[in-house]
Amino acid sequence: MLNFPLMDDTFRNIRDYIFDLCGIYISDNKKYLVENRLAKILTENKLNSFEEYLKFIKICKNGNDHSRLIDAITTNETYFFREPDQLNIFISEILPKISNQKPEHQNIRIWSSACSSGEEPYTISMMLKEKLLDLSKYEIYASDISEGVLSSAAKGVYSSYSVRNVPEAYLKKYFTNNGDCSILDSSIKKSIIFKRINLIDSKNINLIRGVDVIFCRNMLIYFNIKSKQKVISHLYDCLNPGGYLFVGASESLHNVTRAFRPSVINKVIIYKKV
Amino acid sequence: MNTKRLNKLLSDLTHKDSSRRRSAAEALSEGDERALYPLIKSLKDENLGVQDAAIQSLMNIKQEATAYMLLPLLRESSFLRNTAMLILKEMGKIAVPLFRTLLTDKDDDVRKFVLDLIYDIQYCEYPDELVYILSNDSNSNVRASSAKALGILQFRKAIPQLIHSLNDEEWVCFSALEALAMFNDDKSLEHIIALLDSPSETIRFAVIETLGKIRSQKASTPLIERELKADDFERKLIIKSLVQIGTISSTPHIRETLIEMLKEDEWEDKYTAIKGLSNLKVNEAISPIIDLAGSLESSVPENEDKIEFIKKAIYSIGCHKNLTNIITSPSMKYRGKTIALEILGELQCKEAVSVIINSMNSDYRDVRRASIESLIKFESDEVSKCLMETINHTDSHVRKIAIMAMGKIGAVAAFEPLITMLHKEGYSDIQEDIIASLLKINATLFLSRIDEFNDDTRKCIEHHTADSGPGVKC
Repeated sequence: MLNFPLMDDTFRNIRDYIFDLCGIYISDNKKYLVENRLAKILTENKLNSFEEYLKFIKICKNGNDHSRLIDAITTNETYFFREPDQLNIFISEILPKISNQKPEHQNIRIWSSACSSGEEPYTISMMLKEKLLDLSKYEIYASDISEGVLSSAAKGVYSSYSVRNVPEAYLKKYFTNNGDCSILDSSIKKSIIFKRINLIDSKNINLIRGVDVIFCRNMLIYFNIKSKQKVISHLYDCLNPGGYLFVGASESLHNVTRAFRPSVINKVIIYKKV
Repeated sequence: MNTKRLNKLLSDLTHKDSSRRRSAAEALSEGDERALYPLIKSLKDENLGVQDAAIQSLMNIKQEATAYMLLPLLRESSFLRNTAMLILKEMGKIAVPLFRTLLTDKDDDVRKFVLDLIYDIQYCEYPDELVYILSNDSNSNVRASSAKALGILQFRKAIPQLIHSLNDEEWVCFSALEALAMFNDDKSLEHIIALLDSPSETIRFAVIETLGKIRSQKASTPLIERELKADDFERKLIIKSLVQIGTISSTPHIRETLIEMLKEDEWEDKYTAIKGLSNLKVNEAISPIIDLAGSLESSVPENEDKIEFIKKAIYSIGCHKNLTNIITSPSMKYRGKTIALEILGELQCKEAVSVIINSMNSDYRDVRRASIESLIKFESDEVSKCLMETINHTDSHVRKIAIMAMGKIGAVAAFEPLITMLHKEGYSDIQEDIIASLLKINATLFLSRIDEFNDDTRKCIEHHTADSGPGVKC
């Protein structure tokens, strides 16, 4: 265990560093959380204080250490078929609308913008396949700020916790059970294009354009209002006119932007770029 | 901004392509006054994205001129008026001097809107004028907004007038109560308490809530007396206020009401209930409170605060068989069980040890992990023996924690079993933990046997023993 407490000044410096790095704002009452979560990194790196860690992370331009920091302060907890009502509306209502508007030769582009370990884009891919849709007509992009979770996503190996909501039929069809873990079928893995993208970074965001549907679920909760506005403005620019944005069921764009037109389908709120 | 670029952006602001208009509106946020009027016009753009960009840019141009040009929008349609209020609020103090002349505007709505803005901005250099409005304005909505603004401004000279306003129309009375609650001033207490006998149910409810917010002990007795005459709903409000004040007695119906309150939708109500139940140390509340914590999605940051609050409440209730029973309860969710296990460990509830040991074989990995994390908090022979057996557990996560615990407590008896394990352990991170534990138990003996291991393991041991700086991995 560490002998040194996290002093208020150091906490604020670490907090500001994280904010500049990825836009995640940590309020004063979360000091204990930063202390707990970073303690392990300090131990791993044989550092004796949070002050040392701050110097270390500022000097070290290694993406892995940044990823490790972001991983530690975000939860990255997700699972397959999370908030299924939204997914069902996407498949049954939104997708047909987009298909009707699109010229035949153009693919439909879907983007899971904060995909963590990949459960969301893989769920989308499986649902498309179950609808007997031709996956080659869909481009599913998945991004996250953390290299660590993206490499885990690309492996497609999941704990029982991640697959707890997966319907039995999907489990049998798309996963191989290997004792403690479930391994995703390679046809689904291949259907996703992973990219490391920091949504707060305007240069980074140019990597994806012309998207028809963006999923940005349970990510805005980490941001303050200014960062939310920046991220949403970036996502707006990535969407095609008439494109759709899904945010988490407990999230809202109220007070963030008026750029989207919200509509409610079966109690699910969807934001449309008009 | 140079004129050429400005003219280009202003031209783009009327371009037929909405994405060009939006980009121009965004770029005009740099603070040039010449962009103000075109941006205000863009608030009426047919495209929502352009409107939004214009709003954000106007918010960024924090100049008196911006505020001045936005004021006429307060008389426009509700959309433009709300937009203007949003921007003016964001502009903050700089806009407040401009509101002064509007306090005497002929339009009731305009007077109310500027008072609401003062409330939002929480700043005003002319509060005496607000007191005058509270006493003399002909419109009750305006008087109510004035009362709220005076409360948030903490303008104490207004207290007598606010007390007087308790006898004004109901709507003004509500706002006066809200304002007086912000002052926390005992002088107003007797006047507020007098309204507990108001024939108006809504006034009484507002008074009860206000007394809870003021948190003065002087309000306890009148509230308790009122409770005797109250119906179910009013009683619940009174109990909430008594919890906030911190004077509540443990009667069966109060306990039941508080437990029932855990089911309310609002978290403010749940917090009050949890606080009351933990103050009263209601053991039968342990299970529903833990169940509530277990129902929270732990990946949502704000839920972490809620879970922490709940844990602290249960700590203060203390060790009880109801807490231990949660571990074996078939109806409790696994998240609730993990929280209960953590608390049992922190409280070192000795009578729970055997139950915790049994739960190491739970079907749920999180429960297995939480069980061993909990166990390592105990210092007893039974626990040490159990941890020893667990270093060979089939679940690698459980095994890992047990191995680390052996190192932490310096368990000499674990030395040989760990040596044996190091030869066959497949996971590299667990190998590292075994090495770290062996070094803690007896570094000299361990290093003297380094030749027993293969090259990879030896390298890993060398890494651990050398102080070679950050980032060392086997």
